[in-house]
Amino acid sequence: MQVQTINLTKSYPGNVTAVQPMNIQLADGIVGLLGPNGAGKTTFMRMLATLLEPSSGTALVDGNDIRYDKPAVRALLGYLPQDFGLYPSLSVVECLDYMGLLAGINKTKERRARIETMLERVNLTEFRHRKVGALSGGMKRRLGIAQAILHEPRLVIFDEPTAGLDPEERIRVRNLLSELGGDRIVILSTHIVADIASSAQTIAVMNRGSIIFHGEPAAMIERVRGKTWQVLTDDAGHDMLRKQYSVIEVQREATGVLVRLVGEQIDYPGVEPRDPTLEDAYVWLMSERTGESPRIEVPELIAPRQGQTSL
Amino acid sequence: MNSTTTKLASLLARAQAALGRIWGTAVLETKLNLFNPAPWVMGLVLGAFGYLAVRTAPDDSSFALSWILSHDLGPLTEILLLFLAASLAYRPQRYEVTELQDSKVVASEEIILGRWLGMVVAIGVPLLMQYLTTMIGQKTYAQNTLVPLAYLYSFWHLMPSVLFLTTLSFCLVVLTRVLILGAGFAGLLWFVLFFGHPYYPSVLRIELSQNRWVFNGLTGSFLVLMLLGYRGQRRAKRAPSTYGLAIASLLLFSVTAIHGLWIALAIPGKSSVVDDWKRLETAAKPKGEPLPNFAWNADNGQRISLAQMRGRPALLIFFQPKDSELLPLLNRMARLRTEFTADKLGLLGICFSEDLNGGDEAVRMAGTPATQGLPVVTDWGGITQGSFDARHPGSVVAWALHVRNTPAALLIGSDGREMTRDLPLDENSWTDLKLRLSSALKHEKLDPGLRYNPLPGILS
Repeated sequence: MQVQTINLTKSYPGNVTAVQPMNIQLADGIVGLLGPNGAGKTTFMRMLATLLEPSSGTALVDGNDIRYDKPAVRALLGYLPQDFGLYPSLSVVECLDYMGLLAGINKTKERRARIETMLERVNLTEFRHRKVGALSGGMKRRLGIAQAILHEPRLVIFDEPTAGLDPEERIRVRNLLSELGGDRIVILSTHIVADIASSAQTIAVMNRGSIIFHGEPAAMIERVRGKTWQVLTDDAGHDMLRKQYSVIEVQREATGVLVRLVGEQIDYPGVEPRDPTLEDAYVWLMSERTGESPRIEVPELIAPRQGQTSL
Repeated sequence: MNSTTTKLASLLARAQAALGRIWGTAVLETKLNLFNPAPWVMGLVLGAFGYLAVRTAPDDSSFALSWILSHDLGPLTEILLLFLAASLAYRPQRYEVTELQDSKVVASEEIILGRWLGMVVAIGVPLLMQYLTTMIGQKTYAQNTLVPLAYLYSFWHLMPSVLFLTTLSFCLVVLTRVLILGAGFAGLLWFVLFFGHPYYPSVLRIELSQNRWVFNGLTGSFLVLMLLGYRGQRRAKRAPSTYGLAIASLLLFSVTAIHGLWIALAIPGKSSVVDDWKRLETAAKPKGEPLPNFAWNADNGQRISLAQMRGRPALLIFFQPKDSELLPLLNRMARLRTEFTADKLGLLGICFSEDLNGGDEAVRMAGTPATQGLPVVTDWGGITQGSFDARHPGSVVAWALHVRNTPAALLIGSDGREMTRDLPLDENSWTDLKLRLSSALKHEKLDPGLRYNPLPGILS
C-alpha cells in the first residue's frame, strides 16, 4: 500500500492557499501528521479521502487517482473526521450495520460477524444496544473508529481522534490506534505530540500548508539534538525566556521555576543541555520554520507537585 | 466472450450492491421518519378531516366520500404533506453524518434515493390514516356499502400530485439545506397550480388524472436532476454516472414535455370551451329537432359521436364518478345491452368529469366481465346548475342536453330525436325501465298504470 501526492494543492478564493504544492510518499505503518491548528492537515486529509477536490495536482492511493478513481479510493479508505455525527436514535449495532453496508460489506452475515469482532476490539460489546445519543464522548469516538475500520481498509485517516477526550479515554483511544498498523497506512492527525509519540513509525509535520518534515521520529529528534535546554529560574527569568525562546515546558519547583526550552544557543546563566524529545523536535521545527515561537497545545504548566501552588 | 460475461457479472454485482445500499438507506430512513412524531400528528389531522367528511357529507357512499378525499380535501392534504416532506428532508443530524457517509463507497445518489423512498413511506402513513379513518367511519356510520375499490381509485388519483409536490419540496430542501426555501418554493408552486388555473381544462391542472403522467414525469425529472446536482464533487471527474444522470434527466424532461403537449392538444382549452358554450347559448334549437351532434375520443382512441347512433334507437346514460350507486348502474347498463340486443338498441354511457379518464376508470372499477367494453365516454366538466358561467363553464353536453343531475337517462330515436328522458335507473325500477324501453322502442304510449319512479334530474 502506498500513497503518493504529486503537487497536491488546495487554494480558496481570496488568494488563500490551504495546502501548498505537496509531494510526499507514504508507506505502510502509522503516520503521525503533526501541525498547529490551521496548518492544512484537515484539508490535506479531506483531499486524500476524496471529500475535497484538489485545486491542482493529485494523489495516488495504491495507484488510484483521487480525482478520477474515487470509488476505488473509497473502497480502500477508512475515515474518521474530527467532528462527526451518527444517528442518535440508532443503537451501536444498528449504526455499525448501516455504516458497514455503506462501506461495501454487502453480505449481512459477514457484516454481523465483523461488527462483533469490532465491538470487542473497541470495547463496546456491553454497550451494543445502547443508543448512540446516550454514549459518552469517548465511546462515540471509539464507535467512530470502529465504523472507520469495519471494512478492513488499507488507508485509514483519523483527524484529531483524541480531541476533547478525558485523559483516561485519550489513553484508551491512543492504545487502540497503536494496534492498527500492519499492512496498511494509518494517518493520524493531531497537534498533540504525545498522541503519536509511541505509535507512529513516521511523522510528517505540516505548517502553513507545507510539509516541513517527513521521516522517522528518531530522525526528527536528531534535528534538535544539542538544542534542548533546561534552566531553573524565577518568575522574572521565566518571563524573559518565554519572550526570547521557544519554551516547551514549565514546572514550578520549590526553589523556582524549571523551564525547558529549545534554541541554538541559550544565553542565560545556569542553563544545561538536555536529551531531546519528540515534542522538543516539533517545537524546534515550528520555530525554525516560522522564526517565532509557535503556539502549541501542550499544557502551559504541568500540574504542580504536592505542596506547591498552581501558577 | 469470457471477458464480456465477466464484465456483465461485475456490473450485475455492482448494481445489486447499489440496490442493497439504497434499500438499507430506505429502511433506515423509514425507521427514523416513523420514530418522528410529525407523520403521526399529520395522520391524526388528516384522519380528523376524513371523519368529518363522513359525518357531514350529504352522500355517504364510498364514491362520494372518496371523491371528497381526493378532490375536495386533496389540495389541503397536498399542502400539508408538502410541508411534512420538507421537514423530513431537513434534519440537521443528517448533515453531521454526511462526512462519514461520503468517505465510503456508497454513492450520494444511492443515499438520496434511499432518503426519498423513506420520505415517500413517511408521507404514505398520514394518507393511509386518513383513508382508513374515513373507511372505518363509513362502515360505522353510513348506510351505503363500503366499496374499498372506490377509495383505492381515489388514493391513486391523489398520489401523483402528492408525489410531485412532496418530491419537489424534498429536492429543494436537500439541495439548499434551507427548510423554508424548499417548502416555500414548493408551496408557492402549489398555490400557482391551484389558483392559477382554477376552472379550465389545462395540462397544468395537477389534480386531473389525464395529467397524471405529466406530473409523474416531472416528479422523476426533478428527482434525477437533484441526484445530478447533489454534491456533484463527490463524483469522479468524467464519471459515467454524471453522464447517465444528465441523459436520463434530459430524456425524462423531453418525454414529459412531448406527452404534456399531446395532452394539451387533446383537452379542450379555455377558448375552445368558452366558444362551445357561446355557440350553444346563441343557437336556437327548435323543438323536435335531432339532438346536436357531440363527439368524443374514447380511451382506446376510437372516435364516438351521437351522429354514429343515427339509424337505430339509442339510450344515453349520464353519470359522474362520485355518484353513489355507480357500480350497480354500470352493471345494469351491461344487462340492458345484453337484453336489448335484438332491438338493436344503441347504448352509450356519458360520464361528466373534469378527469378525462373518469368514465374508463368507472368501467375498470366495476370490474365484471359484463361491464368491460361498455361504450363509455367522458365529457369534460361538471354539471352546470344555473346559467352559463364563463369562470366555471362545466360540461357543454350536460348543459346542451339539459342534464342537471346524475345518474340520468335519455332515449333517442333512430332519427336522432329525443324520445323520452324520464327513465328510472335504480335497481327497484328495473322491470319498469325495461317495459318503458320496450314501449318506447315500439313507439307505444306509456301506460300510466305502470309503476313510475322517475329520477328527478331531467328537465323536459
